[in-house]
Amino acid sequence: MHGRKRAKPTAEVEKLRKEREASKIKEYNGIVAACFEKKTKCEYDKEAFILTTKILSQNPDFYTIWNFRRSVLLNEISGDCSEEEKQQKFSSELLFLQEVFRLNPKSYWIFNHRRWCLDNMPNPDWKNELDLVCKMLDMDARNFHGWGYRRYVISKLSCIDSYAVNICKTEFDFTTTKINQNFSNYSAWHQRSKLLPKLMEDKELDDQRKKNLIDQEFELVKSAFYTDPDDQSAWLYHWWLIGREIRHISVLGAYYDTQNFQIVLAFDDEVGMLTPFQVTCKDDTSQFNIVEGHWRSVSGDSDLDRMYGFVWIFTPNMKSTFTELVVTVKPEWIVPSHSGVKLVRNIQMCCHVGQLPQQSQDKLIQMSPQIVTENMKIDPSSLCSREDILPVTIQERINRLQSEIITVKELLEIEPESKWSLQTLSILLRELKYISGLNTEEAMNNDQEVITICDQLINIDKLRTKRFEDLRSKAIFETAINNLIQTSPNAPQEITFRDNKLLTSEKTQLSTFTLTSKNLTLIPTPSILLYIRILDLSHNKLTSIIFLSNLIHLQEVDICNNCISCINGVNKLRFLRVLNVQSNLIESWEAAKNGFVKWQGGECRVNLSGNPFIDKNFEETKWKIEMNEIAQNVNITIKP
Amino acid sequence: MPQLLEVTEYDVIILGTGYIESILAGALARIGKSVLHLDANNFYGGNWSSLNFRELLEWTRSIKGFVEFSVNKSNQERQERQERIEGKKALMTNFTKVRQQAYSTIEYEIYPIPKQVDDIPLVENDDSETVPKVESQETLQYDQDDNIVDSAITQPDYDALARFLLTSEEYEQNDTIANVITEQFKSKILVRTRENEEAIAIESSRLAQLLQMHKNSENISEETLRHVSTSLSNFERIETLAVLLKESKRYCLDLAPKLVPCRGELIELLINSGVAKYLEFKAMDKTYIYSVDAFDKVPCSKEDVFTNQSISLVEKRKLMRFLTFALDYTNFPDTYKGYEEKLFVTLLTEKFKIDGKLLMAVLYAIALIRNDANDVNTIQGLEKTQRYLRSLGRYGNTAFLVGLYGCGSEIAQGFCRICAVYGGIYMLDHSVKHLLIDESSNKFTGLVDVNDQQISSTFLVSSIDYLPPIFFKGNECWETTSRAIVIIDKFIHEESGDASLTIYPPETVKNKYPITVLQLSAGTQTCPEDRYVLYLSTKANGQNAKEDLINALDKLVNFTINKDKGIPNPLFALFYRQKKRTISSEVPENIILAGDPDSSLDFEEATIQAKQFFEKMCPGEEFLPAGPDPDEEEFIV
Repeated sequence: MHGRKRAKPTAEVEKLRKEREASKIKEYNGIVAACFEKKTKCEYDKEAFILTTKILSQNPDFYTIWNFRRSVLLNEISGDCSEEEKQQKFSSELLFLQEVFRLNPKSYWIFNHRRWCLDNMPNPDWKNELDLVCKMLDMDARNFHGWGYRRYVISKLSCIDSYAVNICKTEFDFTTTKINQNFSNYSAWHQRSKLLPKLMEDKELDDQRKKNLIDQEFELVKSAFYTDPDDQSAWLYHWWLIGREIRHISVLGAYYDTQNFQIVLAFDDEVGMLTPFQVTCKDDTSQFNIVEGHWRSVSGDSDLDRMYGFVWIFTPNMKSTFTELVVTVKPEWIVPSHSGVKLVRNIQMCCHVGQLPQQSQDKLIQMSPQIVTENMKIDPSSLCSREDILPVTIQERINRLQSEIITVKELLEIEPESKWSLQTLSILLRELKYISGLNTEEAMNNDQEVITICDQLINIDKLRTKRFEDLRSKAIFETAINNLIQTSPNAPQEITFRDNKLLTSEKTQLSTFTLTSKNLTLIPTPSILLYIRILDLSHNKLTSIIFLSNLIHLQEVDICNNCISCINGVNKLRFLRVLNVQSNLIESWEAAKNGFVKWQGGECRVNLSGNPFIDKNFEETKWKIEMNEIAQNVNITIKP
Repeated sequence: MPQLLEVTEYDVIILGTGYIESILAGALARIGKSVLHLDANNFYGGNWSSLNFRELLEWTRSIKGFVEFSVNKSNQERQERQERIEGKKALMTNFTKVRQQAYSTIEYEIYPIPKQVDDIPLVENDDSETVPKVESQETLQYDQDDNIVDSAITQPDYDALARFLLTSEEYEQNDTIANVITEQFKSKILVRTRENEEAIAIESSRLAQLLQMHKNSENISEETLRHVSTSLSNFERIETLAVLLKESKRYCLDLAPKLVPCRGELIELLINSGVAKYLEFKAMDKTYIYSVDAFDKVPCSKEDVFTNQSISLVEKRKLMRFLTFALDYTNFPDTYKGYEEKLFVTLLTEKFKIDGKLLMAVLYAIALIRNDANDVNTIQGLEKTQRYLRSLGRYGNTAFLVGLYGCGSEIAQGFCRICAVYGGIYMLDHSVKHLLIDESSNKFTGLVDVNDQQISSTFLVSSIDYLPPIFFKGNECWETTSRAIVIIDKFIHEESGDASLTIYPPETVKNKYPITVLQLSAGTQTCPEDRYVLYLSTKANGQNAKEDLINALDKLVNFTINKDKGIPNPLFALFYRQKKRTISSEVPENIILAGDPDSSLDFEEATIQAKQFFEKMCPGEEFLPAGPDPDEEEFIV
């Protein structure tokens, strides 16, 4: 060829090429049609098999064809097919899969078919599969199909004695290699998180060596996020290593309202009810009898809303005065709102019997703030989040969190705007707080730090502003509750707390809660405010007032200058006398009006002034008439 | 019968197959120019060449040899310069002498191969053999265990022989002295392989030359005597030489070893032009930096920083912070505002708080500063750093590629191949007698080759080696690099891979300028299995190349026999200084002078230069465009 110059292909040549391509397409469509015909006629013969081969070697993502191919294969191996023949058949199938794998290394169907073959063949060679998956991951270390398949192969290999012994260790080392090559690899870190707990099961490892192993993990992941603080794969693994303590759901308190014949039960988290909680009472012969009745939560407006909630009300079928009412809740009877919380043991709560608070200053009908704070704490006797890798004492946990806080703060000194560092710091601080207890000074400081961090993050990470606003609101709310308790004149100096039982002495009467101008976006635990009668949350950024439905003793609510778009959650608040929703974001009269449908309260003044709907179409008279029709006791103030 | 050229008119004649000449050859032929490409050497690459061991020795001797005889010939040359051919001024070339100017302080050393227990002794253990031509007939003793001459007993005999050879009137001629020495060696070395004979010949002639030089001097110093006498008894030296000669063809030793940055002028040129398909590369594995008797891996890439255990977390962050910035520094002018004219070091220490070992690593292993960091300002430093960082991640976790089978010749040949594909004519081992210059226009018109054939062309592209000596003014200040090629028997760093770079920052081994050591192993196809090649280089500073480099080498290689089993032993070390010559006198404008290799670690400047020459010669033409799509080969017209 030397010395000869080449020319560009002519138009004619181009035309020829296009024609060739067109004929290829036609041919392919023909094969597909033929294959489908076979499929419709249930003809599972050799010819059908060849057709599927032709299609799949061009288009391995055609899952219908894979399904048909399996039917054909099953048909072939049924009957008097010997084991060797079967083995042979599947082996050649595996070779075919290896070829089509090159066309698309990320095809679900190829992996699916491969697994099917191996699961069905007489003698699958798992070692060979491991070698294969190694090659795959050499080509693309972040192919999650490959990693998933690897886990599958490993699970099979670990059933073979000769491999089972060291497989965890070698797999763990494999992830180390991959992470060293490029630590921005979620799959590799994930694999590691699956292997570490298994490594810890090794009986030959003593506690010290286990601890060293965990320390090494922290060193490794620290090295990664110091190298690249913007790489989230390392941070997520770090979060996994730290773990989050599962917080215990607890009952804040229960009382029996003798006027309305209702039991009120408050949880510190939203729960769903699977099995009705049991209510028993003591009869004349000191025997406990089950009280029949029904439960509903006070959440929201609809029946669906009342399937879950913070505050639950029990209405007995028979209205009578009970003595020594006891409510029992078992863990299996409830559904927690998310996986980070759970009810760990049976709760037996004695209800306090008395009249409603606004009519008498009955001491019995109260929530104990101490219980509120105690319940927000982690139960020190059962740290559970990291038991899978290494059981730790509470002190070890605190030490770990503190040392990690130092590490992240050092990083923040160099990278003050690193959003992942800031987020991690907030997690660490909150974890530490839950361990040391809400009402310690340290916890208060931690909350302050979290608030500062959130303020930074809101500015830095504009795409996640809402998340950080919510986190910030939680910290602010918890601080406020804490302050309320600390400053309460009746707060007892010493707290004795046992088995979630309410204290019978030294109770605090708190009835007003004010938290204004804090940019709050949510009220995380409204049930804590159950005993509040006067609530001022004005000048915040709340978007909904649905949580008010939990606060059944509310008399006055000021929630002006927020971002509320409709009124809801208030129609069952029987004692509500004042509701100020001035200057919010209610866009239509209906959004305001509908909140008072089925109004159960008495005289109530509602200020709707300064909401957008008024500017649009000011019809004061019409609205007042309409309101009078649905809730005649409600007097609305509407000024532009 | 010499082969004469059929065509004697070309668009361009190119003299020398060095890097720049070869790129131009390819580029010019590619756009349809007729090219005649000549080289006086019988190998490709010129001063950029990769040689096998025998060729390297040959090269050393030819360059050294001329030094010793050039003194006498200078008068003769002066006369030869003036000549006229067909009305043109004919300027005589002197390839050998001019090439010799590019090198100085050449010396090589051969070291004994560490003994394995079961090695067959090369030297016989018979007591009866005696040293010839010496009156004292005492026998030489050889230690049974390690075959090392027992010098306590026998050294006086060699001293006597040395003295005899140095003083005797009988042996005036070089050849006769060489013969005596050859006989002496042969009497002791009984295993007669071709390599042994060759090694004996080489060593005899070297010693003879040495003796000849000292014979002229009045007083023979004790030092000279000692040197000659130990050389006469140094059979191990011959043994090593024979081994190296035997494996000679498996070496590709670069005279100007260079790396190819994974992103840069050359790599793009290789890819775009299609020359890359003629070449094979390996990724350079690791970089090490020396400080206080220890070598640390240099964290260059993100992965290196992550896995490096010798730097603290905070240092990792500082380094990454700098590297991330430097990769894209032009987009963050605020970060280095006010530092532009300040030293790069100042930016690093003040702004990025990088100091200590890490600072050294950034300056010398990442920015790859080759001279004094106090001459590098922020902008220059950032440019250098960026160039390095951009090269990372393209072909794995490395900034450089290493050419298989050597670098210079291979790449040059790749471009020559393009030239040949597009009709260029090649003649190696073909020297040039005269360049013809038209006096009225002061333009190059053609040349007279070794066969006295006149060949004409519009342009001449020439390596400096072919430039008639008349253009040299002498005593010019040329960029000089001290280099060494060392063959050793082990890796210098564990797990260093097939190719590694080691850097000595200034003042770490009494060096004024940074020293780089490139280590290659058999995986790069440049040496046999179990051999490793070290290429040392630094900006020249002291008296000679050896002085500049020996301290660095001493940290890596064991010069004392069997001192430490873990440290590599040297087999061969060649030290030389290589100059990048510049010509200050006027050269006809249609002569393009392709420069010598520079002191840098890469081909970037040279590539840019080649491109500029091309643009000067063929304005508006495309520089090495891609060839036709191989898929369309069926449509060859």
